[in-house]
Amino acid sequence: MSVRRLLTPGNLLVAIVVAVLFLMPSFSPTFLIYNVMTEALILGLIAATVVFLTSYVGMISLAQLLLAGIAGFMFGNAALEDSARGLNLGWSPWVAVTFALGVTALVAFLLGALGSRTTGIYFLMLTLVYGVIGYSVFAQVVTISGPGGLARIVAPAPFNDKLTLYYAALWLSALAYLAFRAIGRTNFGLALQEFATIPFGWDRWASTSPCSGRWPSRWPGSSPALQASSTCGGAHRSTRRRSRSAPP
Amino acid sequence: VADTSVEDARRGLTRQAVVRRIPRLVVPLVVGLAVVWVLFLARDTPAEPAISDPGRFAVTVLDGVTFAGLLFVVASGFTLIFGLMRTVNMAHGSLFLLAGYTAIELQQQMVGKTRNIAPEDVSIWSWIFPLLAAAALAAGLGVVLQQVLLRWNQGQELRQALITIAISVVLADQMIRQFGGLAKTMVWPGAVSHFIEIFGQRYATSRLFMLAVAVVVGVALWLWLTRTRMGMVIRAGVDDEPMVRALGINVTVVFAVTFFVGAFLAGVGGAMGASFAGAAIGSDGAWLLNSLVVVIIGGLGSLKGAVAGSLLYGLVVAFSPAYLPSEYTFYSVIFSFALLALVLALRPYGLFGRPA
Repeated sequence: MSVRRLLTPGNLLVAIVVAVLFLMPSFSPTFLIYNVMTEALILGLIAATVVFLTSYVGMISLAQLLLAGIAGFMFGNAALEDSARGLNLGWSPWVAVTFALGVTALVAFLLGALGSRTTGIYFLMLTLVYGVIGYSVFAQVVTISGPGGLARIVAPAPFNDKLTLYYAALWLSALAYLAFRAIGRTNFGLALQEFATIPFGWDRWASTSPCSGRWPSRWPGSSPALQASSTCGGAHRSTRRRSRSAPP
Repeated sequence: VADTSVEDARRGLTRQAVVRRIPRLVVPLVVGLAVVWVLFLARDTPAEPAISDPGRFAVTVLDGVTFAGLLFVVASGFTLIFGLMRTVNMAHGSLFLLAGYTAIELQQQMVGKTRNIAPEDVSIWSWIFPLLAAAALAAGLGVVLQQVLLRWNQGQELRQALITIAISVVLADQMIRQFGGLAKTMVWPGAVSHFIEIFGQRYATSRLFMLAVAVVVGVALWLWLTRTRMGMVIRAGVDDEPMVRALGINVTVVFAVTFFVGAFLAGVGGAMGASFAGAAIGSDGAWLLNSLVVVIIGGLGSLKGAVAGSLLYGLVVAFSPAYLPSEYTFYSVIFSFALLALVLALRPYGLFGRPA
């Protein structure tokens, strides 16, 4: 890709915003940096995952903040030593970070697998339910948190400095932006975007075949001759039974 | 080449079919284990095993069924609106809570006291009138929301869901401003606040009264949907809305009426819930969650599904704290999630649901 093609107004704007954000600590009050901008960048990073899922995969997930919360709680449980609540595992901070990310990825995979057959508005409702139930779990289960939550969690070594934390949040946000753009250009990303734009969701896509009786009539392979031919013989009884209960 | 690809596709389908069978084997296993646990094994729990304490078991079942009645009233409104209009009304919980607060205020006006209202002070009328008035208020607000904000986005489900989420946030703050942050309770009428003896246990008749009200609401709703012209139009609209429109029926009016009834049911549920568990900050979110769980289990847009979902969820909510070992009672919230997971693994669109 040539440099010239990268010089779009949008890219220029993003570059200017990032440059301003990098230079900001040198001219703006520290309160703004430490107490507003860091939090804004962290929340923005979480919001970016919602935007990624919505625009590339076509799923509006309301459970993203739950996953952020799980990572936070798992880090607190693993890293704290003598807190009033929680597991107090007292691990070294970076082991705790790895543990937190691992647990979060596992939970995200399980919740995603459970919801993978639902689409659209059903997915939105399901993820809202995930979020609220997750909230109740952390509010009620006193072994990992309880209603008061975990207090005095300290970030590991280089990030306990507030300015470093700001720059870390900024670097991560910029990296995430580039990564989402890059994923969108890979084969995987293109396939995801196709799924987001096909007329119905993953589930029906996966169970649709020319023989199931649900192959859209404007698609190739939908001729009655093929459906009546021997390739669509006695097999796939279960597919057919499902298709009868579905609306046209 | 074509033959091989068809063969490959068929093999893929068979593997898929095997993977899909797994939930059908797991679900009976989990249900069976739960039944055996409750009947024979549940020692050291708040309620002992059912064979050693059948009275407690019967009371837990009653708790579940009566709570399911309240769940049904609230969730049926939610599912009615979705079934016809494909609108997921995330402000349903807010309408519920607003009606609850309003009913409490009205009852206090009618009784003439703001605190320490005894059930004897409350006649049947000073319970039913606040309930109906508060439900009418919720219904009116619902229609305003639908006409002013949702009508222009008809058919854009996700946008409507996000709009109603925003409304619920605004309403939640306004209700804190208006009614304060303290939990309030509506008082059951004196005629139904007694205790009766069931299987050797004291049981509050107000819970049975709540179930009776829910049954009346359910039957009325069923009669309205199956025996009247408007109900017929709504059922036709659920099946094929463009066709109903093409037949010359004014669907816009039908939508408004449906939203009115759905929000009215949220209001009836709100007043009942305020008498049953009180109204407080956070009740709106909790009851939106309850409605969502019921309709996800039962299937969106299906009245049968709302009944089945309410019963299943109500029983799980009643049984899980009673039959968990005493020191693990706080894990009971996980069981609502487990119920949801089991149903979704078996039927992704709920027990009586269909893909949108």
